[in-house]
Amino acid sequence: MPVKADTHLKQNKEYMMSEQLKFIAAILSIFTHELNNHSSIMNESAGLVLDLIEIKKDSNDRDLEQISSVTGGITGQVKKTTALVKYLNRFAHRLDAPLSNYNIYEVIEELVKLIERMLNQKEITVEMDFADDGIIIFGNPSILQYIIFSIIKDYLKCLKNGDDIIINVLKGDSAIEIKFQADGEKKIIINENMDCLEAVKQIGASIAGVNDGLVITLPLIVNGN
Amino acid sequence: MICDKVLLIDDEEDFTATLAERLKLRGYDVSIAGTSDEALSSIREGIPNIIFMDLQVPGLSSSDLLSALKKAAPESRIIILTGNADETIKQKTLDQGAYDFILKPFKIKEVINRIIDACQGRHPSQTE
Amino acid sequence: MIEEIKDTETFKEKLKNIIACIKSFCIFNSGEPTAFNKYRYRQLQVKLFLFIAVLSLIPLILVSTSSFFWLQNTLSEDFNNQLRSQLEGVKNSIESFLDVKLSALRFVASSYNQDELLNPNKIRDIYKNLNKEFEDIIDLGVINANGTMESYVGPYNLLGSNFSKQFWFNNVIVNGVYISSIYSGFRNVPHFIILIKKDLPDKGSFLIIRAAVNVKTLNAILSPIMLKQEDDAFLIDYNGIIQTPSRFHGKLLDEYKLAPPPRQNTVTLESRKEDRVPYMQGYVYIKNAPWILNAVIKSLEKRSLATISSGEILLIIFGSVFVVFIVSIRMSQILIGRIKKSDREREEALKEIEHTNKLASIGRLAAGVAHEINNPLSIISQKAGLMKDFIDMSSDMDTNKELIENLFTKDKFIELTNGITSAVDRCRTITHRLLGFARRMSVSIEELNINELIKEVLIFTEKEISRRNVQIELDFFEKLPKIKSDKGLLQQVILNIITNASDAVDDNGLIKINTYQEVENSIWISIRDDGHGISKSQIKHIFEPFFTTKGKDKGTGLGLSISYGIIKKLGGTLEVQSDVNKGTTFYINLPVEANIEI
Repeated sequence: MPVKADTHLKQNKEYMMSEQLKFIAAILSIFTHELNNHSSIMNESAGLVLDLIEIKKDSNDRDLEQISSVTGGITGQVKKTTALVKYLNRFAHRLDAPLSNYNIYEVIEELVKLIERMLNQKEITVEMDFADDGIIIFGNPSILQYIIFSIIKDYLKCLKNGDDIIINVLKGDSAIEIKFQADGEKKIIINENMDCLEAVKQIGASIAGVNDGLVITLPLIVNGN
Repeated sequence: MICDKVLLIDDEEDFTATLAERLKLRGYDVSIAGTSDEALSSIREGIPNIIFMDLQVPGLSSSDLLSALKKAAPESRIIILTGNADETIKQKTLDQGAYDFILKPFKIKEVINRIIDACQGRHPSQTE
Repeated sequence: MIEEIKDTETFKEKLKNIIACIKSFCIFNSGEPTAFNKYRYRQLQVKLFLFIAVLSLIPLILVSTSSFFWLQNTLSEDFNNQLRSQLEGVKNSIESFLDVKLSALRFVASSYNQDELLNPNKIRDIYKNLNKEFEDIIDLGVINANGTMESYVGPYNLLGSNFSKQFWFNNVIVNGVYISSIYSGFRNVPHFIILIKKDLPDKGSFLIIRAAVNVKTLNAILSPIMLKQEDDAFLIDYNGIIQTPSRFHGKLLDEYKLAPPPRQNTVTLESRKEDRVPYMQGYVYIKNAPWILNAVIKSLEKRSLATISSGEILLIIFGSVFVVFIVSIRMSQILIGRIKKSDREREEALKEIEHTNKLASIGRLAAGVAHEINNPLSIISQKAGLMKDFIDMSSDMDTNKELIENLFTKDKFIELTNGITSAVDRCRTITHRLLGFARRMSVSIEELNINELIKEVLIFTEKEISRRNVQIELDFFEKLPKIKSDKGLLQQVILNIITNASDAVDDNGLIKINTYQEVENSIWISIRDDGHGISKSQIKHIFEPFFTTKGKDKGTGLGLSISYGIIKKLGGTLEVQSDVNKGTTFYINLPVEANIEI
């Protein structure tokens, strides 16, 4: 569908749906590349082992140690890959059920982990500052992830290499605030051109600019009430 | 009690073969089965102390296989192997008589620990 | 508030729309309308408008027509009654006029004796006095019992004339009074004669007193009816001779064209037409005189509702019709607006459901991938672990050196690293599929090899199908042409159907997948299972949303309806055939060239 420079269009449901799909595609794509990365490393390591094993087994310990460490490295890669896959699994399962009880920290962490590669390309780090173990709320975690992804993308456009994004989650009586702050003076201007506005509306939240960043306010519905 | 007979039930041959080798290196007597039929005939040849069972093995459904194993080898401790960390499945299999649960991929050390704990009648979940 | 669809089209576009609208009205538009086909809505709106307008106008027309006729009727009656009373009035006037004359003569008869009456001088005096009061009495004469005019005063030379042979002579002897028809007589002055009998009891004889009366006054009495130029009122006698001047119907003493009507004491009115011009004919017999009052009234404006209030009537008619049209247009607009709105909302809701479904299937696919990857990862882990074992254990004093010696060989390591590499390749394949899927999430047309596509889909279902030992038989037409369509959507559909087939069969069941071609521009895919089949009553609903034959927890029942929608969108058809306990076959037909429904 041709995208006009009509801001009205960005707020309609169809646009949001297609953006959401693009978001998921992006996550899967990033994941895939990351996984392929790990796979390549494992392959290389295996190749290296093969090379090293040319050396006879009764050579000095140092060579054997090397092989041992390489194979250890492979196992390490497996571990990293497994962790990544676990995040994907959780992410994917959230798409199954639109509404559920979810841990907001888990959801944010999962998203950040899955896009780590994208962040690393610009050397941006995302610090997650969560007060305690976790806040369980009822709602649509997948759309929340899309919103956070959309905001981070907007930040990436105006941050420079090496900057930080800090995500705070504060729990109030009737709402949860997710605050985004960027290193230094960077601010995103909340305007109609933001991709995430329709999604914010859809989950009943609101978005506002504050002095040092922006805040998403999620009204609290606990356990489906 | 000597507790060193292990039966591995999983359809990924590459995986079971390698794991079996590693366990053998560590002194265990390991049998492999790729289907539920193979598993049951292996038990007929010799009852294992510990059975590692993957949830997606060709043949019987996991529940049916679990019951069959329990019937064929009531004294054996069954440890479920799977890549899926679903709590409900975990609970279901434990309810059906599985002794323990271990997530793939795992480190060999974990496996050994599970075997030792199972042999000594300790549920790792009790110590966690 | 009713939403109004803002119309920002230019005039040219509007004109085009109107023309297209008219066209589509005349053309029978077959096939299912897509929700936002503008012309369909316009068509519907016009039809609805006509329906409402006609429905409203019918009672309006009926009521106004019947009211009109009723009013007209009343008006006619009113007019007729007026005319009637007018004629009655005139009749009464004529009769009074005659009565007065008769009374005068009777007075003369009773007041004067024979000698006085036959005295020429006296009769002149009497006449003079009479004339003073009654200007229209032309002459006065006395006729004896033999019929001879013995005494006379007047312009005519009647003294000594004998009237015993006249038809009225005996008439007046018997009746005592006679009034004649009008005739011109001498000097062409139209007049009529009044005669009364004066009895002479002592002589056993009688006299007849005769007076000629000028019809001027009589004519004057008739004038009220003749106020309007077109109207005509005159007297005729029993022979149909015109007695008083008629405007249009003949000269005095001509014969009137219409025969005298039967004797009536009351006014008779008839509605007639002459040269298509309507007129009223009224007549009434005059007492004591041989006359019939005849009126021909053409000034019928007061009789016609249309002429009286044509302006108002037209105003009311057009006003009502206008109001009906306006209301009908507005109502049909509102209703169509509501229909459009609910169609749009339904479409949106369906899109949302589709979207949710899409997300769910993506989720399941990604989760499936995540699960699948664990296997090769486990393998890599173990193999790397084993290699490490060898190395660690060979330098470890405690382990059985012999055991290690035999196993720790270069070939073994090659075998293990190859194992790792192939496991890594497996990961790659899995993620490649995931990437491919991710790329295809927006609708895009590409050239597809359907046989390959089906094989790819089967990989997703591989585990489940082989676990239950379900047989898959593939019978692919090798020369199947590549088609232009959307890969992701087709995969979704085929996955859905194969999943359904798999659910339907028992363990060890059979699923046959065929691809073939019948005509040049399309291809067929058939997926047959030998499962429990679908009954005739259920098969009708199988593509309906939310219809499912599986239990409550197995699926939402949306899969087939969405598949149906997808295939339709891609320009193809999806059909099903089934026999209970024998199996079900789904047939997908797809065009070779992209034929996407917007």
